[in-house]
Amino acid sequence: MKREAAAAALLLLLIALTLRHLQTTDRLIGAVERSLLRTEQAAGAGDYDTALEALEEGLRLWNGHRSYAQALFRHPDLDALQDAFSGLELALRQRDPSWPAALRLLRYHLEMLGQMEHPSIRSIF
Amino acid sequence: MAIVLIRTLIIYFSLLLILRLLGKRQLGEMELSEFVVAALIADLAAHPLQDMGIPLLNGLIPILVLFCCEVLIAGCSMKSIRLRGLIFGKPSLLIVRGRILQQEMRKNRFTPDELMQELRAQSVTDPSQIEYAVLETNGKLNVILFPAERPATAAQLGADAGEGGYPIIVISDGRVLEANLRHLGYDRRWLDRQLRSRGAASPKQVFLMTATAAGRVFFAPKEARP
Repeated sequence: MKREAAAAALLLLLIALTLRHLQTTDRLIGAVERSLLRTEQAAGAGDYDTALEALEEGLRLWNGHRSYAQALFRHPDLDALQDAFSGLELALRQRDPSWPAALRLLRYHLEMLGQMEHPSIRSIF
Repeated sequence: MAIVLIRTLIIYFSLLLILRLLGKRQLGEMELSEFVVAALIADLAAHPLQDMGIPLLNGLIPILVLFCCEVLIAGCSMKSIRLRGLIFGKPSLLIVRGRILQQEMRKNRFTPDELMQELRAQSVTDPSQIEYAVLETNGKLNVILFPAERPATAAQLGADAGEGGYPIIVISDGRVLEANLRHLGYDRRWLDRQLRSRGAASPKQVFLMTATAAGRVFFAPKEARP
């Protein structure tokens, strides 16, 4: 029965780690989302410097979890997100009026990353 | 991570169910859950190796989940006869007292040709010689002949068959396995005597030599290389 107990413990540990991962992912995505909201509000008001600061804060948050993300998310998804960050940053630096499209793309990738981690009919099947 | 875990559980139990419904013939020598794990693990392990964009954990987590499921299912089925029957199925009698049970054959999708093939593999050509033929849960067909058709044993013939004993390798490809020699209670002098009596000057001239505690020796000298 020792083997069975060890297997049950390992399965429970995996489930617990999975729940912890979902929490971490939600918290991280939520924090980045909040910085994107500030970016949107500042850029909408024409304050591109504040918008860039808010975006960089979000990017810093994301990069702070880079190793974690690399170990758990599909790398093409992470690359797409990184490209979307760079796209928005460039648009804001150049005061490009098309920045809302770049922001939408970034939000889409972020949302997809979160959605694909959460168990749902869509993500499982 | 959650998706990987849930998907693995879904695939494991789906395969278990599908293969259970398919019947014993698909299995070969393995039990059902072992077959499912074997079929899945090889493919799961290969994915992160082939595609560097997939994190290694995406391959490791399903393997760990499968391992846990397999150990738990095997452990629970040892405790519960009902669960064992549910997961692994029950042995099926295909022949009883020389009569082929056609309904059981159909249920297990066993054709007469396949039955005969299995019987021939066990050196039986006439089904009327068979008292019972059992299709085991691992897909293997076991045949029990009528007592009158079984080979006579030494005990039935009243013959002295001597001691059997388990043959252990003492020389493998020219190398003496000292530990095995000691285990049998022999020493190098005994070995040298055995070699000399078989015309070998040294262990290097021996390809395989086995011995039993009762003193039975099998000797195969090395063949000269062409």
